This record gives sequence, C-alpha cells and structure tokens, in this order.
Amino acid sequence: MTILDMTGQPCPRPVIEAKKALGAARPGETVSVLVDNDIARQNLQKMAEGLGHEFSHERRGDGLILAGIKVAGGGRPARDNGAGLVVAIGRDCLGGANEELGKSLMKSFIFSLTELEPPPAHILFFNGGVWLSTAGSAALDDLASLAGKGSRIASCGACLNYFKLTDKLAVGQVTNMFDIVSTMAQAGRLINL
Amino acid sequence: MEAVFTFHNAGEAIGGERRLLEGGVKVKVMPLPASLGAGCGLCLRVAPGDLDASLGLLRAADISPQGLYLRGVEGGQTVYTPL
Repeated sequence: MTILDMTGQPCPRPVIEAKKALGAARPGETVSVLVDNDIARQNLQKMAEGLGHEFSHERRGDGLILAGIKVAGGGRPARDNGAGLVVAIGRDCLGGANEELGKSLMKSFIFSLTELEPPPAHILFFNGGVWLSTAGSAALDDLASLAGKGSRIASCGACLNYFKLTDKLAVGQVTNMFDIVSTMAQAGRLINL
Repeated sequence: MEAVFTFHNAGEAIGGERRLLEGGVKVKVMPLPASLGAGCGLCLRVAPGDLDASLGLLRAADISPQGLYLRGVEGGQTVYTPL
C-alpha cells in the first residue's frame, strides 16, 4: 500500500496530492495519506466524503494522522457535492456605495437565503465575508438555520487567520482555497458576492 | 415568533437598526415581505420580549415605525399578524 507522506506540507497541498492519487486509483482501492495536523485531516475528509468516497483515519503513536480514502465503487464519485446552488461571499457588505446600507442588505440577503427551497448546497465565506460566520455576526442565527436545513457552510482558513478570527468561527467549517475553487467550479448555479 | 417593525423608508429601517443595537436589543434585518407592502424595503425583527424596549428606543430616536406585526408560522406558512 502506498502512503502519501504529506507531513510538513502546507494547506492545501495534502488535498491536491490526495485528489491526484484518487484520480489514478481503482474502485475499492484505498489511498492513504499521512498528515501532521487535524485541519489537514478535516480537509481530506471533506474532500473525500464530498466525492462519495469512504474516509477513515487513525492517530498514530507518534502524533501523526494516517487517513485512508477508499475509492467509491465504479470508479466514479458516488455523488457530486458541488451540485446545486453555491453562494460565495467575499465581504460583509452588499454593494459598495454605502457601507451601512450594504451591511443591512447583506443581513437581509442571508435571511432571504433561509427562505429558499431548496436551500443553497454550499455557502462559502472568504476575505471580509468571514466576519459573517464568526462570533458577533448578526447573521449567525440565519446561517445556523441554513446549516440545519443541509447547507454546507465553510469559511476560508487563511482569511480567518488574517483577521484573527480563527477561534471565533461560530458556524460551519474551516476550508481552503482549493475547496472553495473546486466547489465553485462544480456549482450548478453560482452567486458570487 | 418574532415582532416585526416596518418603516416608511429604508433609511429609517437602517437608522432604527442602529438605535436598537446601540440600546442592546438583538435586532435582525429582513426584506419587507410582499404581504406587508410594495417595493423592496427592509424591516426589523426583534424577540417579542424586546418589543416594548424597542418601541421606546425608536421613539426616543424620533423614528415612527409604519407597522408592527407578529411573525409566526401557521400550517407551514409564514403569517404576519398586525399588533
């Protein structure tokens, strides 16, 4: 069994390399990936499960995490996690002429997403958009409601880090640009704000 | 169940939101439902327990809401009952 050693590799390299290996693997085959942090493990899990593969992992005695991704039968992903509506939000203000109006409009926009049927498949936050998914945001209740309806909510880890908000993420998961681009590229419909 | 304030214009809704936040009221913004008026205005939602305090804060700021409703769900549909 081949093990991809991704210890010491920066985000999103483990996901990129694992995805390449999965592309070359046969149905039923397991691709193993060794990583040294839990965020990398989470990103691998999101990617694998999003593509319909089986995911498992174990924390070894040396502290490293060995992830196993078993390729879905038939050689094709069991489902496409990008299908449906994807909403990508890069700021906490809707429109640019007036910031106060824009912030109210953004809250109104996110509330309106809760009324959509079906709800968006993915809501992605990056750059200033991460202020909406973190503690203190007035949109948290609506985002939690969307998560409860099945929307996947994800915020850019680099952006959370830049704004010193990593510990304040209040809804959804941390993600990376590889996942954001991949999700946008596979979207059935995309709203990019 | 939430109390919903409607306003004469978007500027009053935004000013009202600002005053309520300054007054410590947890207020949420939402689009004006078509059943409550034409146009594309904004309205504000507060918990029913914050209704009196919200009215006081708005009046102190010289903002008179256009309407006040209770927002609830009946038979799976969202309904707005005038207060």
